Amino acid sequence: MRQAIIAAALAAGAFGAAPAARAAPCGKPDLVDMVPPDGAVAVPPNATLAAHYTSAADYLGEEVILVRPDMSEQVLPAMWDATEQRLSATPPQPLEPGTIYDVRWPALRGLNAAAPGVGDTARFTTGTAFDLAPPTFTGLVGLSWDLERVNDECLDELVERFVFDINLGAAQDDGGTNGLTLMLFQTSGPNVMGMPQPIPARAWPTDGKTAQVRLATGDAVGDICFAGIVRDTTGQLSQSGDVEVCVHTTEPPFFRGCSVGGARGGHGWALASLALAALVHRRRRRTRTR
Amino acid sequence: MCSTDTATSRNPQLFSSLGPSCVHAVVRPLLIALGLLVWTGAGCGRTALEPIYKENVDAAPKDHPLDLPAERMDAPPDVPPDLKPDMAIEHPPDIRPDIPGCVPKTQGETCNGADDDCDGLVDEDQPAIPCPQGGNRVCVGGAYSVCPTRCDVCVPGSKRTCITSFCTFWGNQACAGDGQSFGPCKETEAPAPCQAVAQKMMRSPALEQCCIDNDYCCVDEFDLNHNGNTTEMLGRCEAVVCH
Repeated sequence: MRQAIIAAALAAGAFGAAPAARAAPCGKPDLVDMVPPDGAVAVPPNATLAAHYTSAADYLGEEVILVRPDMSEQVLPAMWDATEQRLSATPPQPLEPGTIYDVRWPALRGLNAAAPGVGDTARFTTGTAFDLAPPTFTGLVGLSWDLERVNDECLDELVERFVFDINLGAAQDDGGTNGLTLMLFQTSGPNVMGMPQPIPARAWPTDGKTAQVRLATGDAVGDICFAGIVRDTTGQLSQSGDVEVCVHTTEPPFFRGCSVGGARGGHGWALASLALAALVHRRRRRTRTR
Repeated sequence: MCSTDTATSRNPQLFSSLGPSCVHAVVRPLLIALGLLVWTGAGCGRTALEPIYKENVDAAPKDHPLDLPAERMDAPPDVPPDLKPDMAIEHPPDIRPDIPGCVPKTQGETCNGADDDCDGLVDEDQPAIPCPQGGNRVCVGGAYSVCPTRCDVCVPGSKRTCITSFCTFWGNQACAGDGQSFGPCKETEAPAPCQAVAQKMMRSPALEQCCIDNDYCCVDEFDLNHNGNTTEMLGRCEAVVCH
């Protein structure tokens, strides 16, 4: 099941934490991540529990079950946000502090797949502190890019995707970082048109340092910028949307490893121009001396 | 002769000593420059001082309405030396006068990537705007985002019908696994209800209409809805488009 979830995280498309380039399963409505994740500690008693699914998933009223320490089960009232592919559930009463709970996230059906996807279970321990204050996030701090070609299972062909590795600043919340959701936005690009484009939200990365965004070529060539905010377990947002990171990308095909006119900088062109000017100057001098 | 090259292999010196004449010739301009620097720096020194009314600033709630005239928005040009920290200050407490050149705007903070209220924060406390289909628009990068959708271009695993220009005149385009693009149009046999149209009319608006009438999700190549968009999809596309 874990392997399936990792594969689903890659398939989740636009946004993930795993750097490896792998084929994505075609249209499987699998669970991608859980907030809080499995093994989380000090989860606020007033936390809203949530899980993200791949974009092909459809919610048809499947049950979200909370298992208490005495093994009694409670079906939680669940809400489905199709725009974020997020299934969330808030326990009617606050959770008991210092208690271990399991929450079972269901396998969902897909819009285009007959077989259901993969669900999961998160075991977490509650803390004593309630989540009251909004989270703080210093924003995105770094950005690099690359181009990958992977075989797409749905198309059975190679597809090109720009891969952006985004470095994250520090995030804090009185409910702990386990309960944070990272919401990234493309704020500049060929199709942004002054209105930032949301990237599917995902659980705060386990390393807390990097996130990865994959964009189609048509969305990712030129001056590309991102901004990010975090959301805590009570839905409060950080004030970090004004911090942007940007990079200039080049449309393929391009040379790799050639210092002049490299993909990331303009210094190569200056060097090339200088070299060209020197050559021309030398040629003129030779011509004059003849 | 004024030489600073006094280090030898036996007696290396990090800094060469200078003779009196050299001090006169070399150091004097440096001293004058240093003096000028200190003199000009001293003029700016006030900005580094803690404002004596800082406690009031920090304790004040942010984003107060700006109800004072513009000429009173800035800090007083010179604070009297006998001003006590608890004395009343005649400017809004949420304005930090130590932000040079910042002129607060009357409408307060808005989502525009600027520090409108001169409190040192950009686009703070901008409320999220709920979207009709779910999710919210939030203020990022100086503008409100578009409403989120479940995918970028198409639902992964879905297919739409495309009309080819030869042979069967019918094809399918699959959506990529990440929902960010469609693949190429791959030729297939037209379904039975549209085979006759395909054979007779070939690549035509009639074939696209047949596609729509038979509940397929079809690329609107012939702009049948006359909206000028030939890349959209018409027909039964609930499982294809990103709502």
